[in-house]
Amino acid sequence: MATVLSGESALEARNPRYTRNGIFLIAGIALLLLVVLVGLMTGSISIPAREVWTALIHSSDSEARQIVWNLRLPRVLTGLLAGVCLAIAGAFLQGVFRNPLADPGIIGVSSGGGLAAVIIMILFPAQIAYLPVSAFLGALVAAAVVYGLSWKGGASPLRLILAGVAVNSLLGAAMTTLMILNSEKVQAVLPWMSGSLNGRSWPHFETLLPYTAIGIIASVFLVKQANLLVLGDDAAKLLGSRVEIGRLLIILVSTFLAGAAISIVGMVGFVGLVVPHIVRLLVGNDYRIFLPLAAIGGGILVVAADTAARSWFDPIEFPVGILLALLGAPFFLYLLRRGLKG
Amino acid sequence: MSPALEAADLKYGYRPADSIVNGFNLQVSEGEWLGIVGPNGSGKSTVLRMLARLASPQRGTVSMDGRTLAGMDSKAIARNMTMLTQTQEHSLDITVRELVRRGRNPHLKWFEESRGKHEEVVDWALQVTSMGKLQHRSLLELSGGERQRAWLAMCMAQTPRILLLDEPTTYLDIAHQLELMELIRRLNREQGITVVMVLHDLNQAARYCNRIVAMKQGTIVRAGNPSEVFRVEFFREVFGIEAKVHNDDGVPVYLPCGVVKE
Repeated sequence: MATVLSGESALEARNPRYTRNGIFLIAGIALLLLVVLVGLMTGSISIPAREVWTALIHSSDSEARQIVWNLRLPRVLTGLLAGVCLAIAGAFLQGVFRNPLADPGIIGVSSGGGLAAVIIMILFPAQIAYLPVSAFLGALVAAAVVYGLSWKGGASPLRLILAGVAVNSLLGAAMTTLMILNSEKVQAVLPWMSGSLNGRSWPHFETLLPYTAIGIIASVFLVKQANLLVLGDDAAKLLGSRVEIGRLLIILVSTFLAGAAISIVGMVGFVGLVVPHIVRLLVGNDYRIFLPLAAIGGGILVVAADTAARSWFDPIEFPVGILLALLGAPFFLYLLRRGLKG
Repeated sequence: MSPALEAADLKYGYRPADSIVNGFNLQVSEGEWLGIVGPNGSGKSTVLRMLARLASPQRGTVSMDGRTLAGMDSKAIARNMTMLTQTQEHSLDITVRELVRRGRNPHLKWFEESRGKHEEVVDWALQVTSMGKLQHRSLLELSGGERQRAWLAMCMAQTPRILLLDEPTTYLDIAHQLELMELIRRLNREQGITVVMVLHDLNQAARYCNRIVAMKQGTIVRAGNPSEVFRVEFFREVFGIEAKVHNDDGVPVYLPCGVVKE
């Protein structure tokens, strides 16, 4: 108590973490630009960086322009947006559930969107144009059902997770049943189920962009709420926060973002779980830095993984979701073990 | 003048038949330090949670300065009253200062960040709890006692008039227990903060509290200043133990001798 009684020296105002966070942010943006550039250079035909640049700024009929502008750029940008959406959703959900295993799948987004997509692809293949909108609505409905089932004078994180597990297994079973009964059509469904950017072009990007933009703007307003909710329900309530409304809004925005992403690129599962984890190990739980870095990290991971997926296995275009799991899981385990020791 | 905090006829139970708290009445005056004691399962933590609006009573009301909490804005309550809970989120990787800054939330509009004079309050809260030197440390790097102080600093940043504490010393060693109690004594005396504390250690309750309320089976069985409450019959009837009670400069000190034999 002596220190209190004698009074302490003036407090250091500057948080040393701010400098570190600034470095992470700049490094993250630089890395994102780098993976985008490599993504544009890489493919069955390699295009040097200088030609990529020329093709980007000068409209021409050259082959490089065709490949970079019409094929690779929309695909890279679609992957980037999907990664951003999924990582933000995962970062939010891990916080409001206070559970490191939470990801956009836990509230039924993947299984709801997946079932809707499988229904379209198998039962109504003529309506394939409606696949994104069906998957998006399927994701929203499934998340609403999970939330509704968990409500009992409030939606506690534990009940939300349990309701999510139940709804996910039900929808998963329905999906599997459909696929077993129509096994001849399963081939068409598989790339979507594992998440793929094959053939994604400008219309996909243009569909996803407004959803991502709206979701990111909404996220900015929820940062403060998320920072209170991670303290726990009791602590947040004691600080005057309206816990249930805050949690509902965060789940809503996360569902919106993740649903939009999977409706365009399929069930890319790993990003929303692993990216927030890695970023949290780097910068901690403060959403003011955690959320933007997770968003950047999600973009980096999906663009890098898709670049690898389409170049390493050439001429087969490997679904990016599978590569993410194959490479991401061991890396994730390594980080976890290192994190536990430190 | 209305009491700072008042509970009227509180009832709480998971099922209607067996209630954890029943017919609980309490008035807490401005500036006093009240200790709530009682055996396990007597409902004392539940009462504290109802006082802090973390649990809603099935019957009865809690009021602050004569206004019922149920009708008040949550932020307005949070500007006046807060609680140090028994356990906190233990895996949070944020700095002490970031935690304490969140204590300013009830004083800020929904879009506002803590800055300017709010940061001065944060400085004060860190200093008064001697957390200034640790302000840029992560909560993960702190010891149990330091972490408890960090959360108390967050409570202080709310600048509450009423501070509720739920067995704040449970996980602390004896030196840290006394350090925390001394700190709360200073907040109580110098800042005039009204303190309501659920406490396991009866000797500490006797030493620090102005008034003791003893609960058993969901209701108050004894109330008064420590020397009135802590008598041989009290330990026998409320806790079911035989105890010797000594007087240490006006403060009762008890020594447990064994369980009451039927």
